[in-house]
Amino acid sequence: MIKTKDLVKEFKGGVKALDGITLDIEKGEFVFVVGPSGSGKSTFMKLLTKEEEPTGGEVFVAGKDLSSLPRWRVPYLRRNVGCVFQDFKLLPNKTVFENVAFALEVIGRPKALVQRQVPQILELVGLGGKLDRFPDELSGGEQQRVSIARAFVNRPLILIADEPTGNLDPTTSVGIMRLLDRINRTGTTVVMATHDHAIVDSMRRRVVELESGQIVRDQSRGIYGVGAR
Amino acid sequence: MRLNYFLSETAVNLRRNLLMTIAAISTVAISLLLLGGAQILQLVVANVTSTWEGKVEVSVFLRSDVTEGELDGLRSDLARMPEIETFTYVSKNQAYEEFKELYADKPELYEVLPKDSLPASFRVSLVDAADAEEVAARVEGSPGIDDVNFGGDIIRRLLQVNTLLRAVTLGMSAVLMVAAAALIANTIRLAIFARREEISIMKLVGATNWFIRIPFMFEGVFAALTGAIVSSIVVLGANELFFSKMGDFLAFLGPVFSFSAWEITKVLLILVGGGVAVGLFGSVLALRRFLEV
Repeated sequence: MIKTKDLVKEFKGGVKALDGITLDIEKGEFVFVVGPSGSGKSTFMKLLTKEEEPTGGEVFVAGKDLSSLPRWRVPYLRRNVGCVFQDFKLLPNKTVFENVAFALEVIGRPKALVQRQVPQILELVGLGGKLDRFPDELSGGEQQRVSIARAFVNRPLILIADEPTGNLDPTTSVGIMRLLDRINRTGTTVVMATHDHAIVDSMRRRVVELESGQIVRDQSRGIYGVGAR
Repeated sequence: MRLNYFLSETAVNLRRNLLMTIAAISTVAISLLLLGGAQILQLVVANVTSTWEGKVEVSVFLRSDVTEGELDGLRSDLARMPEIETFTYVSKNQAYEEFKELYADKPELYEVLPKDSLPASFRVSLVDAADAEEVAARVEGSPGIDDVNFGGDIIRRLLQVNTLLRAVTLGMSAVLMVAAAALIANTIRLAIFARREEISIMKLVGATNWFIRIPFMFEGVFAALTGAIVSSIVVLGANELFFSKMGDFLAFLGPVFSFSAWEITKVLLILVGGGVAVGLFGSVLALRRFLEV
C-alpha cells in the first residue's frame, strides 16, 4: 500500500530531514512511526500525500509512483489518503455536520450521499448526538473525533495521523486509539506518527523508529523502546 | 448543485469585502466608460466625416494661357488617379455664370467683372476626403496650372484632433483597466486570505484545483461584469437622453449624434467583453500569486 525506497528529503540550507528511508507497508497494517522531535516523522508523512517533494528516492502510495504523478492528479491521490492532525484543523464557523460534509461536497459528491453518509460516520465516531454543535462547544477528544470522521468519511484506503493524541489527555487518547483501531479493522491502512509511549506500548503494533532521518528500528508488535527513556 | 455551491461561495466572498468590491466595480465602470467614450467619439467623427465628405473637392485652377495640349495632358493625368472619383471641367464662361448665380441678389458684384476674369478649373471629387491634400500636391506641379485649392481642411483637423483625443482616452482607459484588474486581484487576495483555512482543508481532502479556484474566478468576473453593466447603462442613458437632444439642438451639423442600434450594441459588446477580460485577468493574476494549489 505504501512503499518507499532510499527516500531522501533535504531542505534548503542542507538540513537532511530524511536520509534514505526504505519501507514497505502492506494493506491493512497499523504502523506507528516513532522518534524524537526533528527525527523526520512529520516530513515522512508529508511526502506520502505529496505535500512535500522528496529530494531523492521513490515513494509509491496506493500503487502510484508519486514522483511521476502529475500535479493535477494529486487531489485524486488525496481522496485515497485521509489525514488527521494534532491540531484537528476544523473550520470554526461550521457545525460538526458541516465540517464533515464539507469534505464530501468539495470533491463533488452528490447531496443525497452527503446527507446519508455524514450522520453514519458521526455515529461511528460516537458523535451521533452532536451534529449541530460548533467545534468550540466540543472537548478536544470530540474535536479529534470530528476530524477523524472527516478523514474517513470518503472511505480512503490509507489513514495518516500525525500526532493525533498530541493535544489530548491520556484517557481521551485511549478513546481516540480505539477509534483508529476500529477504522484499521475495516481494512484501512493506518500510519500514525507519535511520541506517546503508553499508546505505542499498549497497542502492540508494528513500530518504525526514526532518528536523524534514518530508520533505526522496524519491529512488528513492538513497544516504544529504548530510544525513549 | 455544484453551480449552487460556486455561486453561494462567490456571494459570501463578495459580501465579506464589500468596500473592496465596490472600489473594484467602480474602477471597472470608469475605465470602461472611458473606453465607451472613445467608441462614441469615433462614431461621432465617422458621422461628421460621412456627412461632410461628399462636400470636399479639390479645385484645380488653370492659367489663362493654358494650351489645348496641356489641358488634354491634365485630363488624362486626373483620369489615371485612383483616388479621384469624378472630375469636371469648368470653363471661364461657366465660372462666370456660376458666380452670377451665387450673387444673383448683388448685381453690382458681377456687373463690374469682365466675363473672362474668372479662371477655368477642374473640379475634382474624391473617393476619400482624407486624400485631398495628397491629390492636390500631386497635381500642383503639372504645366498649365495656376493654383490648387482643397476644402476639407476642417475635416482634416477634426480627424487629427480625433486621433489625439482617441489616443488619450484609450490610454487613460488602459491605465484604469490595469488599475481595475489590480483592485480585483486584491479583492480576491483578501478573499483567499479570509478562506485560507478552508482552502487548506479542501486541498487536504482532495478538492481539485479548479474546484478551489472557480469561486474566486466567479468573484472577479462578477465584479468586472457589474462594472460593465453600470457603464453600459450610462452609455445607453446618455444615448437616450443626451445625444438625441444634442442632435436636435445641433441639427445643422447633420445627423452626427444619431447612432444605429447595431452601432450602440457594438459599443456595449465591447464594454462587456472588456469587463470580462479585466475580471479574468485580475482573477488569474491573484490566483497565480496567492493561491498555491
